[in-house]
Amino acid sequence: MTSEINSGSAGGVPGWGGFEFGRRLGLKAAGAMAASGALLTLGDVSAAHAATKSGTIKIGYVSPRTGALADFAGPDAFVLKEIRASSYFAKGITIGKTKYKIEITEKDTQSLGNIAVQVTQELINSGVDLILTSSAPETTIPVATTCEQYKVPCLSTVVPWEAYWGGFSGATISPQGGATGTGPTYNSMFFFGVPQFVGCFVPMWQRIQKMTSCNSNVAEMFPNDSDGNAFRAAFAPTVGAIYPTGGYSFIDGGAYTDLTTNYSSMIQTFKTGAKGGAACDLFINCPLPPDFQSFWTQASQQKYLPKLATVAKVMLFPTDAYALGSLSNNIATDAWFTPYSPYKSSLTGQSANAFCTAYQKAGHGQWVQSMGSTYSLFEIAIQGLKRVTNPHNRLALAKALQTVNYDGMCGPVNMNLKSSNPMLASPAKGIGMIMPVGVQWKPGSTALVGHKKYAWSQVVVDNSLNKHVPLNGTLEPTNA
Amino acid sequence: MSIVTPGAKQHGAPSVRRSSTSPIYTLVGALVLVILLTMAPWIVPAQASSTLMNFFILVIMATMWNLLAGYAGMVSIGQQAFIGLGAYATLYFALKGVNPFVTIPLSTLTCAVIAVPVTFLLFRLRGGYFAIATWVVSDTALLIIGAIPFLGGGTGKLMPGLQSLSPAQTAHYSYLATWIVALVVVTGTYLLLRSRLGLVLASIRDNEVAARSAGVNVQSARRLIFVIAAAGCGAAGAVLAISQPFIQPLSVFNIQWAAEMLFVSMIGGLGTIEGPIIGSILYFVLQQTLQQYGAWYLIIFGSLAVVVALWQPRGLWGAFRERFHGELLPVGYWLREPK
Repeated sequence: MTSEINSGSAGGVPGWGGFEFGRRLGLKAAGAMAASGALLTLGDVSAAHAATKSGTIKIGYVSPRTGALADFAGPDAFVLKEIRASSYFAKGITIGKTKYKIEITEKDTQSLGNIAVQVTQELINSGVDLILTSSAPETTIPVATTCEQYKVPCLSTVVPWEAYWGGFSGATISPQGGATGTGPTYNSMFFFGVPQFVGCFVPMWQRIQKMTSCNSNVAEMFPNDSDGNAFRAAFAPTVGAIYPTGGYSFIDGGAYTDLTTNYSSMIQTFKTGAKGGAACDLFINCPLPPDFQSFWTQASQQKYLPKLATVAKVMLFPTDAYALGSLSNNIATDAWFTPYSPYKSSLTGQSANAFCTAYQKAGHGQWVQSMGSTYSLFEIAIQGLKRVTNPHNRLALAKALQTVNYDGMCGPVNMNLKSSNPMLASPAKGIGMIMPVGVQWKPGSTALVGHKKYAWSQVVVDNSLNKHVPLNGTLEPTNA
Repeated sequence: MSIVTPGAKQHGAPSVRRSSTSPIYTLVGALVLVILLTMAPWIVPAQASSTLMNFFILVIMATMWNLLAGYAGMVSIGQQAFIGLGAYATLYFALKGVNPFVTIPLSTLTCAVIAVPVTFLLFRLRGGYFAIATWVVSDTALLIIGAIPFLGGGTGKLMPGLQSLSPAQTAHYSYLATWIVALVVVTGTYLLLRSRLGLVLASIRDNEVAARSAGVNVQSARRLIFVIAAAGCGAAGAVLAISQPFIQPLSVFNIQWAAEMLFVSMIGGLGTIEGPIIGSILYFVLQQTLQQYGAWYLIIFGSLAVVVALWQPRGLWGAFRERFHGELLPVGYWLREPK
């Protein structure tokens, strides 16, 4: 701060002395702006290097604690407590010959893009070295693009990589679903994308089709938002590319606006809109959680009963299932983290199972998937910091994060994996892939993690994409 | 019967003046404030100037909403339509290659032009029906914008033209742009209310029927105010779009903007220029201090609004004025009885 004031008085104040104010306020302001233009470049220096010499590494964490996406951030308080108690965060990290303290600042986006930008700017202004963000494109895209603009390293998760990539100027998705154009410099992410959703869902469709008289018509409930548009553009073509003999036909329910409350016409389309007036026995979507509650209740009332519903972005968390009650029985979704995964923390060695048990013991209710991804954000942050010589060098840290390769709470993450297997390979440098498994909601049981029975629990029913994770349930039709 | 001339110094005759205090104080105070706020990015931490920027955006919106509801009696819950349209007009011009900062006046004008035909639809309705119709207008705008792929559809789009600036330049330029827009809006509103139209508006605010019978053309005064308010909100949307590089329809057309405008004007004092500014200050102080309590701060805001509406319907500034008879930005006249 001092340097800012000094540079200001050295370069600018003489100019202010000869200033003549016009009669009108507008003129005054315009004049002042012109005179102060010279100062802009001087201000540059101090803002960008405010924290260069500090012995503290500041990390900002941005998530939707309140609002429509609040469930994603439900375990934040617990995860952050665990993270802060782990060695690097509690005792500091030695980089080069210097010992740095690590400080985490948490910010809530209220599930709104503009608040996300606002809090990100606040964090950047407070001199953070790195920003971590999680939970849906509505949160991560505004945060990531703001960081790119202000040249601050940023790591995102729980966002399909296609939506993430498309958020940057100059970055595009090719018709084949690959990452093209110029990607971001200061950003990286780990999660998965449309091909993994396909690789997770379609094997379940095929098994149900063998089991029942399920047809090949797939109902698509995709909203007009980042996720919805990414899915609409990519899902059906990707299914066609990976399963050319599948013969699936897709019926789009229309690009509805988020937080719509009446889905009657869409339900009617799914009931009779397929070829020959047939119903869609398979169902996929990626709505906001409250929208799925409305849709699914109305679908049940209006007797739209797909044989298998494979949903994305919703039914990830127990609160969704509790709210729908018995209507949630056998709804299938993806799980990027489960207590049944054989993975463990790279910070403490704690297993995924013990991590979830501790969460449940601490009285937070049933385990949720986002606790794993949020945990891994901080693991990868440490991995990135271990690869630099000066943690305050923003470009170096950003580049280090784009090459992290480690095993942690969400399994192996390689941010720059070259592989012949298109499912595993990084679409671009700085995008790490984790492999989800198929889960279904079933009545809880004491045999599951933590030996506590909850009303509804997720069990792993399909591991086509990730054989590390053992099955602990049987795939059943959503509606027999 | 004698005629009272404003400013006449006849002994024994009542005199008329704008304020109880000398205007010099206000003028000097305003000058000092303008200079300080213009220099703010260089004298306060970046954190504070970014908060100030959001504060200015709120002041612009609240001042415009106050003009609508407090003076022209039009309670709108759809002003976010023009915030969104302003933001998207900026995006559109920027995508066409115009410098984002140059687009601010263009977007303002665009919103004013769009507002004119809208008034012909809206003015057929009154009171609660009018309020709901404004919301319909806003949702319609949201749906239309969300269906245009060029503007990013529902996914949203990154604001072009800012990436070549350094972070500090972006912060400083957008601060100055926001501050100048706020200054123009507040000063403009002040001058507007001191003009003949201001007198017309005050008469409508106090008693519409009486104003009509005195020959005031209520309809056209309202139309003009609606267009001005739309332009002001469009300018707010434009600076919002510049300060936040990624523009999503659901975030710029969010009804939360209307709620904030309403809350701030009501707490501060409807029908005064100072009210929305005082309300915005209170809103930001509360937000900064209570944000850490998560959802609780929204509950506190709600309760505060209820308390003020029930017990202090004229808002904080109204209460202050009743007690001290002071005015910062006087738009009316005080009659002074001879001693």
